Amino acid sequence: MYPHERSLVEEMKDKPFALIGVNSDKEIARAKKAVADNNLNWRSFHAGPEGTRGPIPKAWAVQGWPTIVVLDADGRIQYRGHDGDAATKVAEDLVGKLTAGK
Amino acid sequence: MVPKTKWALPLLFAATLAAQQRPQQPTPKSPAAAERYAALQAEQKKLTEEWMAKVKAMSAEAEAAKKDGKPMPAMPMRPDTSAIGKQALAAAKEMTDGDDAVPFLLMVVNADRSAAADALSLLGDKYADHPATAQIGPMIGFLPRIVGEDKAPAIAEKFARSGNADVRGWAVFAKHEKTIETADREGDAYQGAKSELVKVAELAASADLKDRVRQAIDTREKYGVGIVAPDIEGTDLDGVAFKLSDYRGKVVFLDFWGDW
Repeated sequence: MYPHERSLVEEMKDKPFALIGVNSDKEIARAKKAVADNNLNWRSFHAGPEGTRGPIPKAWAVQGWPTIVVLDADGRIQYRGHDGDAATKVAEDLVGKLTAGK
Repeated sequence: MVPKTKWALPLLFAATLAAQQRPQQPTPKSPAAAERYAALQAEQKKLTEEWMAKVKAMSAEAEAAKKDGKPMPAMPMRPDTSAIGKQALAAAKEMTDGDDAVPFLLMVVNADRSAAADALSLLGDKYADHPATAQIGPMIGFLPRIVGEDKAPAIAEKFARSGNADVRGWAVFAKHEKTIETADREGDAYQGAKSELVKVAELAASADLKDRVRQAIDTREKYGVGIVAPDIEGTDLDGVAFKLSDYRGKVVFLDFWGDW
């Protein structure tokens, strides 16, 4: 996964786009090590010491990892699921519409 | 464009999570039945432990093979516990008290897939109201995979008529889960399924079931496609507070990830 997310962030760096993580590792140290070891270039919320059962995944009813949710510029959910390619396509289309004519 | 390399197949933890939430298995009440049950359980445990030891040995072999560039050893076969399942089913058929029979029937489902349909039918016919039967609640949704598409509906229907609120609740949840996931939110099918689910969740004692119903509805109504997402207020990995709404005006790719 990491290389795809990394290159998505890289590709979109001058566009109205943000990749935001919700890291669901119980130990924050583990997440930080993953960030350092893999040069992860996006910001993440930490889901807390309960990990996958922490308040954010729980409220969002996330039951499988990874889950990806794509929000448009108004915060409206446009994709929810586990397919990184499909999510990327939705995000790219939204960014395309947002930047058209600019 | 992002390079078109395939994303890793989603690693779905739902099944693992459900397994973690499984409460302690009930054991038979009468001493004779309890003894019989313990013997089968010990046999099952022994087979599992032997298998685990083989798996461990295989991992060590695999490490070595990897180093030497040799072919990987095969994964050892899971132990065949079907004989245990058949004995448990025979035992359950001799019993008339649910306190004794239900634990054996639950054992069959785990030990012997080929006898699972018989065990679940018996459970549904005679012991659908028994509190211990609620243990199979989360499994009702997987009946087509356990007993086959052909037998699943009739068995699910037995549980849907149970006098036990949890058993009935799980059966209703299994029946409506797909509708809640995919039907038009404004349509009658969705609204009907939702009101039935809200009712069974209210009557149920199982916190797990209440959670699943709430999450299924929330997934559509609060966190589903077309909905303005509720804000997230939290802290990043360095402990700095931030909000999801800080990114309004941008397209946000929200990624629930973990390193595990």
